[in-house]
Amino acid sequence: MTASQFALTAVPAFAASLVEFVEALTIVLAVGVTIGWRPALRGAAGATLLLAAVVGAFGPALARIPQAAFETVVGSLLVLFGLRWLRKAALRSAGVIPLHDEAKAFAAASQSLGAERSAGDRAAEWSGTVTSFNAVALEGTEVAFIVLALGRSGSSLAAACLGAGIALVAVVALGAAIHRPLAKVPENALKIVVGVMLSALGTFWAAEGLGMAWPGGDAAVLLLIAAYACATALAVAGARAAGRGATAP
Amino acid sequence: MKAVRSVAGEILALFVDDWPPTLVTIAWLGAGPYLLRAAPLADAVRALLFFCGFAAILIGSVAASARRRRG
Repeated sequence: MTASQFALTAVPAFAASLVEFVEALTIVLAVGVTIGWRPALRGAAGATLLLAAVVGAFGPALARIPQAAFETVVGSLLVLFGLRWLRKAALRSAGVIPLHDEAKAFAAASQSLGAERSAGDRAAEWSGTVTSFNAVALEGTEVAFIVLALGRSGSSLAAACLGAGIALVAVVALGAAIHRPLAKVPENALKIVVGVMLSALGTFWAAEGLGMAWPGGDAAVLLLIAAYACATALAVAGARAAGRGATAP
Repeated sequence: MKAVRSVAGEILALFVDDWPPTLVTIAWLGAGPYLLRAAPLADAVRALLFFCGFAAILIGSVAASARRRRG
């Protein structure tokens, strides 16, 4: 595996995982602070084990799928997934929808869990475990998909797992150190980076799987990354202009 | 059954946030390579046009969402 292949696998896995784990951490912290650390950690650990089992079970199996079929299916899913991230991130950058605010999400989750707490210790503990499990499982599903999609061969799977693992350790360490949601992580910028890289890889694989040839071979992925970055900048500018046009008298 | 529907909904939501651009993207993914391969074009032009389809969908759908949300 070359250095550029490693970077194209580990970087999007790391950035996507960082964003998703930060969002999951907010809910786990809210459960820990409001109900208790035991249900918060039990739910988070259960979901992490489940997701690790999914990646462990499907990862090696995917390597046995014929390359053209894998590239077509996974490339198409990556395009859909990447463009969805880019659409949302562009609308947030343009100020059309609000940026994801971890402090606000933490306050909302704490308030709703506070109401659960009045139902009694056992019920609250169960509810905390389920909330923590759901948050980690939900955000982690996106991580699992990205890791599986990027890790199509043994060494790629290791690079994708490494990227996601570093993000997990970083988020858990920061969360344990400051006991507050990580509100200063530039989530939207990271989402644009991930969306651009996934869309570029998806476009490359889908076209290759369907029999199109890319001039320059693998180097075309780098051009696609630059091209998607430009398209996203144009989308943000377009959304700002469309918004101005819609609100003008 | 409710749990299965909920899990299926969450998995679907990974790929779909807005149906019209998603359907156009799927249509371009399905038809684009066949149309482009059938046309007498150089590989570089085919690749550029394939990307341009997705870029146009991205720019168009973001502008449409912005217009809709700001009413």
